Amino acid sequence: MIRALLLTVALASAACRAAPPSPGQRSGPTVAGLEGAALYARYCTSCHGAQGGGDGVNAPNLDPRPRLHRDPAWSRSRSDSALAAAIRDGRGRAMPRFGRTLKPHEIADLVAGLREIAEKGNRP
Amino acid sequence: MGQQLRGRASLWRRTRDRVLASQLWRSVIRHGYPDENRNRILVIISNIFLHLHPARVKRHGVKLRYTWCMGGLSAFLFFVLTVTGVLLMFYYVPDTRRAYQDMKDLEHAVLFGKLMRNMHRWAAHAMVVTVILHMTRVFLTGSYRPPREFNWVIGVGLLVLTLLLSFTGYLLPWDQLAMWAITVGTNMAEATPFLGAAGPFHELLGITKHNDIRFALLGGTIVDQNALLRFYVLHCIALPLIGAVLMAVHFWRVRKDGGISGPHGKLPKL
Amino acid sequence: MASAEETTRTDSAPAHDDRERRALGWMDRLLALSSLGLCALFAYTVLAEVSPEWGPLQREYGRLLAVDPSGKGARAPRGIQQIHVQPLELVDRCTSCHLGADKPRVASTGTRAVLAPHPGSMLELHPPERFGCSSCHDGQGRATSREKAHGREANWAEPLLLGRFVQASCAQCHARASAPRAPDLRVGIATMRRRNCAGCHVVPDLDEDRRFGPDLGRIAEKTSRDWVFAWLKRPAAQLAGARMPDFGLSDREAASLVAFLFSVPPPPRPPAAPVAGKGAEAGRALFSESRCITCHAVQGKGGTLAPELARVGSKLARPWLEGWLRDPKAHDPATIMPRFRLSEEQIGSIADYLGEEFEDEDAERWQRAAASALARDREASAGDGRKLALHYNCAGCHSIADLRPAKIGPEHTELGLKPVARIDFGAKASLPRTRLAYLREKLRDPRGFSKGLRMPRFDLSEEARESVLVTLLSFKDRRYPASVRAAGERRPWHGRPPPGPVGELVRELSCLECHALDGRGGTLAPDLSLEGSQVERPWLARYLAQPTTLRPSLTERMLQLRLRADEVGLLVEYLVAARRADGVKSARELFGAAGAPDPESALHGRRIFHERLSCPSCHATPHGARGYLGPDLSAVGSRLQPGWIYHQLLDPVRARPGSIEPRLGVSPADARALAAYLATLRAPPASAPTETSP
Repeated sequence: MIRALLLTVALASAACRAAPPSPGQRSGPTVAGLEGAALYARYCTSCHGAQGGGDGVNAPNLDPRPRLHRDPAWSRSRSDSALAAAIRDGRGRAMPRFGRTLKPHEIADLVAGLREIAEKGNRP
Repeated sequence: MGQQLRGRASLWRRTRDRVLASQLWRSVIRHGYPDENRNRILVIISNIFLHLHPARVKRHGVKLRYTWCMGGLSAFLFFVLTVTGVLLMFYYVPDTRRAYQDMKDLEHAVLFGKLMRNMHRWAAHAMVVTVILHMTRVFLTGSYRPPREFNWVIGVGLLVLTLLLSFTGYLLPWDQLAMWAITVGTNMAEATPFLGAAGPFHELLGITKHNDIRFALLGGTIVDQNALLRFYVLHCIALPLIGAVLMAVHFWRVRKDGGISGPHGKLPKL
Repeated sequence: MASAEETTRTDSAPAHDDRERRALGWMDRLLALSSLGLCALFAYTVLAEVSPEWGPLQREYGRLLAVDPSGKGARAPRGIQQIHVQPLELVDRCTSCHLGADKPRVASTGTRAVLAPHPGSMLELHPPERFGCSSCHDGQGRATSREKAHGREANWAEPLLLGRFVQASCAQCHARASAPRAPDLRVGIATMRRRNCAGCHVVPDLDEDRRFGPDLGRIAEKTSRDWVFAWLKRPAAQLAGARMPDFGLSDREAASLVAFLFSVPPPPRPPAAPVAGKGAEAGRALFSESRCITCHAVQGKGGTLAPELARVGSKLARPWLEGWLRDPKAHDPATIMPRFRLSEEQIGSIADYLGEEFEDEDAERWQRAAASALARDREASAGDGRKLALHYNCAGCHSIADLRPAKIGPEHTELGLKPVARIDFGAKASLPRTRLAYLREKLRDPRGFSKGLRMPRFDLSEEARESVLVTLLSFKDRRYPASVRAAGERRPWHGRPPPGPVGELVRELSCLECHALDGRGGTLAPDLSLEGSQVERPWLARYLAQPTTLRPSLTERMLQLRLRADEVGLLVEYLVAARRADGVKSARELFGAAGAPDPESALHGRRIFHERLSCPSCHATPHGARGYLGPDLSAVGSRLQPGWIYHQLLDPVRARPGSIEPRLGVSPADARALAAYLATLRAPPASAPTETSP
């Protein structure tokens, strides 16, 4: 009984989280996502891969390997500000900092683009 | 209870008598209470607004089905158009960059602007209809016959003015419909004999594209700012003024020519 | 009827009054009813006026603001809100409903999209008080009801733009080919250029006077009638990624065109003896050594500047191919193919290779089909073909005999504002009556609307078609004042070679199809505007004579043009003397009187490079860095001047605007140390070829 209840709660909460945040997003990428995708293609694909698979042309040379972005669970576990900070200040030694190259609003758009790439990973 | 009522009634009577007898009242109202024929007539002829109406109306004059009140309705619509038109003038600037935007503001942001504009538009359409129906009725009942033949001519003049008012008003919204309607309309004017650059015999008077009737209407050779301003002035000042004068003559002649026409005398022989 | 009138007039009073009363009763009822109707109409008007659509939204927003913890003290606006942008003569009342559009997010607005802030950071770049809303989104800014404001009413020429189609408005101020944040515009205009829409239409931004298809003067020497027939019938079947559209020609029409094309006498050509090569194997080596796939693709792998070569062996006639390889520009002055200085034997080997290895497995099928069709339509005449060529404006893309190009299609200049009423939907009556639906269908099935239409089918992928649609809708110019337009003019499509003999050489080698000078030219390869301040002279001379791979991750690499020593000298002289940057330090200014880095600071720089910064992620060095993305730095000291290394490290974005190298915020002292380290990474002298060997 309790197990069934817990399962229901878990399913319900999962459903809530999976629900898109706004009806506008269901029809396609948001404006921010569109702009973020362009930035992603320019600055990120060569290491993180065009689809966010962590398999860009330069990925095999990196240690640690680039982050897999096409992963909804990972994406949901990170806040917008954490993602923005990683882009701004770099991560470890391999990921360079982009805070002086990209403006804060561009980083925000890039984060929105990352979110959409992550959600795409959900689909078969 | 009864006592009180009676007291109140007498108070009312006393007050009324005092007001009626006061100099202020008598300086404005020059006639007695309209409970006898003389006073009834005085009420009508001593008031500037009411005296437009005859003091005596023929019995057939109140029968709707003879005139259908089309003349009266036309005059009423002209009044509606004047009032709403003046209100619209507070918001409308005849500038090609602003005219259409002002129209949109009237529709969307001005309190009751949409109502005013719709009233103006529908009244304008209705007036064209009522004027034509009025003339049809006058024609079918033979009311143009002597002694009313001159008033028929005035009426024809008023019909032309009504149509011109409608035409000039058409340009003012400055939308595509307006542009092309006026383009077509003035191109037709261009084909006028003698006066239009595309009409027959224009060369006899030395008429060219730059001095013909179309140029006069548009203030140029294309529908642009000059045309808009011209049509605006014609629509708001010139045509209504001439119309008002002709209407005054028209109503005055109705009275002088034996009052509103009705089924008396001989019917026209067909 | 007449007798009834008579009665009315002569009858005695009572009967007459009775009838009158009945008649009036009917009129009375009509009057009463119409009066009630009028009152109801008036009441409705007043109600509609005092209860606008934005009322409930503003109340809801007010309630949400009241409970929002971050919105303390903020009050919801009441009444019509508007943004008035004086210079644009724009009044937008969108914020009457879209209350949160220009404000920070109110957490409690939840899923109410209409109350949410504008997504993305566009409003930071285009503040509403300067640009309003409808300058980008179209719609009817002055309206205050949903349907009308979104422009969904008859005769409103600018319905609301949503999603990717908002990009259509960027081109009012930005150049399409470089519009930031408008990928669809960039792809769309590039696609339109590639498919040469300007051959038939007047297209803004594609106003250059240039032919896109090959010169057909020598078509009879170049290939066979069968191939031309098959090509005309279905270009995409003969060549993957063909730029030529499908004209839907019947066999008879195609045969007439073939007859016409082969009836045109080719221009005279210097006689050349056929050459013998050393076989396909030698050709293959030359093919890969010359880096042909930088421009040509082979089975989908390679560049897109020039045609795919996979099936070219079954198409080309050997004498023509030899002549072409000897000097392409003598065959077709407009071609972008550079002249490779190949020996006669090398020409023969490449021709062997192309002829043997690039055969079309399908050739037999189309040759048989074409031959039988050509035999069937024997009376197809060159005269008919010429008429067809004029009808379909073949000269819009090709140069053929004396045919002149003509803009036979409608202008695109104002296509984005074309009133729907002026669009002929013809046979496709079931389409929604919108500009977008029409254009989408027109691209998909251009001749389906009515008989006699000439536009060919372009077979665009769905994505490319949507991008082209965005671009087509972007052809609208509201003539905004210069004060709001984006700085920077449209980048010209073509480079401008320098004057003098070096310019002749640059033209002959088509350098500016890949490289740019002063912001004009190709984007495939680095901009050479400041090359003289960037590279070491000996390296440049070696590189031009024998190009090496700098960026291993790229397919497109510098062509091996086999330049003569005097040509290398001319180019080096020009680049070193005329292409210099201001403010780049010389080695002496950087490293002191010695002009060479001292080992200590080089060691310091090496440590910074490998331990403090993320340089090794993208670059390779002999000291353990294995990055594959940026240029290999193992011998960078022989290649780049230390002053330029220092300059670029301080601000890579400014030094090389097209580069993706991020600004790492390197201090001048660190940059000096890094430059010292990198300057010590020199190529071993033994492996360097001498400057004179071609």
